[in-house]
Amino acid sequence: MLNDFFDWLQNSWGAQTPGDGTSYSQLLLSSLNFWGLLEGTHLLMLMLFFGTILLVDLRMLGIGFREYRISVLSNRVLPLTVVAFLFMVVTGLLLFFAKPEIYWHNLWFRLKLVLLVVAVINIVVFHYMVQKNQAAWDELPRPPPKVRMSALISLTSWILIIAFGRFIAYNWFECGKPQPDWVNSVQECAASSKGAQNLAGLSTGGGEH
Amino acid sequence: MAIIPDNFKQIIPSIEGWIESLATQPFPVALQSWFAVIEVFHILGLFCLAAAAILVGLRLLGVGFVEATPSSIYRNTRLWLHLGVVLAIVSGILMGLSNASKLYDNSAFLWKMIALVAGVIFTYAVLVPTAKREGEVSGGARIGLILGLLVWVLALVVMISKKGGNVAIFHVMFACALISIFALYGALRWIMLIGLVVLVVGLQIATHGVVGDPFTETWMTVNKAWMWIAGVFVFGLAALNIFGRSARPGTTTLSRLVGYAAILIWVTVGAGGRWIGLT
Repeated sequence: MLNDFFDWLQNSWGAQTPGDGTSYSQLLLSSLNFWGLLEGTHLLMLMLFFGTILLVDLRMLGIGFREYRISVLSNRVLPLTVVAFLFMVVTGLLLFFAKPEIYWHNLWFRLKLVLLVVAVINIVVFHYMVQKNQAAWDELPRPPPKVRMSALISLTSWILIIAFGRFIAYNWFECGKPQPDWVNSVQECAASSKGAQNLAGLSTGGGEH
Repeated sequence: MAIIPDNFKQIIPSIEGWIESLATQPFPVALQSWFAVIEVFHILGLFCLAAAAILVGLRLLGVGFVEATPSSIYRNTRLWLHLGVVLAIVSGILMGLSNASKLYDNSAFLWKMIALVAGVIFTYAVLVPTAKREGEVSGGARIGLILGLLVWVLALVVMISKKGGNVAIFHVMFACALISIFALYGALRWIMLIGLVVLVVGLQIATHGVVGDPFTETWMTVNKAWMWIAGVFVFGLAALNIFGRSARPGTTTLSRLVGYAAILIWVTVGAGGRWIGLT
């Protein structure tokens, strides 16, 4: 069902005839500046996003800025992180909009989404549970294990999100290529426009495009 | 050949044989299969060094982590600065070896390398000593400042001289505008914010609101005209900020100049990396 929606989004929405390359999605992809600038902005905003969250997470791990309260550092630095994150979300959604059907069946994109969920859950848990008694550890050069664990999960998930985000551009597991069954099923290739082909060469389905 | 060279091939054509031979040597070939992984370390290196450059740079403008002195922010981030610079350069060399012939005639790679030289000069000869002296720009740092700015401007000139490459300047402008929105206060901040929205929306309407092939001379010209209008607006407002309009207390003209440039030079380097793949 989602696949049909993304297929419509990519090929039909705004098009004179579906699949003629004039949908809004394809206009965005073939635009003179816009797509390249979106990609560039997405990447450059990561400089601000990851750079700032790195310093706050490291402080929570007890590395760097140990002479400052955690709240003082995060009150000043996290607003920058939030601004960067908003830009990342907007540019990320627009980039997705340019090739929704392709990304939806991309292994790395799916892994990136899973890790984004992990990162968001981690933020929620930190905010509502770990941070409750912040006054007790705000000044500690080395905060308690719970805080350090939050920081470690945050850093690990963001690094993996960055890595997987980069890997999306590679066609190692592109649907339609002969590959192991588990890859096809994780990517739901059978429902994609390129179809699924297992390594043995047996075709197990395919779209109509 | 134009007055401004387009790529390394035009500057040093004599090494073409060596560049091409790299593609068949075992080490570069072995690196090719690790390219994507090396690339991840490359961007993580850039982000690590950016963490230090952004926080110290903003502090020199009087914003960001103002509870700490510039020297204290530098002390607490210098490990990431050095690690990031080394990681980005070493991984960059490995990527370059595995990909040499593509970079050799790539125009974005040329301006990226020039910007990298500016970034290293500026960071170590200007930003670090200025942070250590709490924003006071020493005589030696002033020499580095002039040199670093000149090399950076050269990178920007090479960048905008090319038809396909000029769009990358929008990243530098956008980053500059974003820094200004943080650093300015009062009316100038709003002028920057609203002006930026008008310019971004205006460019999109001008280049894409019209049915037809956008890759024509006309639209390239519209693009370039827009670049100059937006450039004068954004860099002009930033210059007003640097020279004292709605500037934060405790900063000087020179410290603000160092703050802006230290961040924007690395943005130029980062944009270069992305545009290698797009030009």
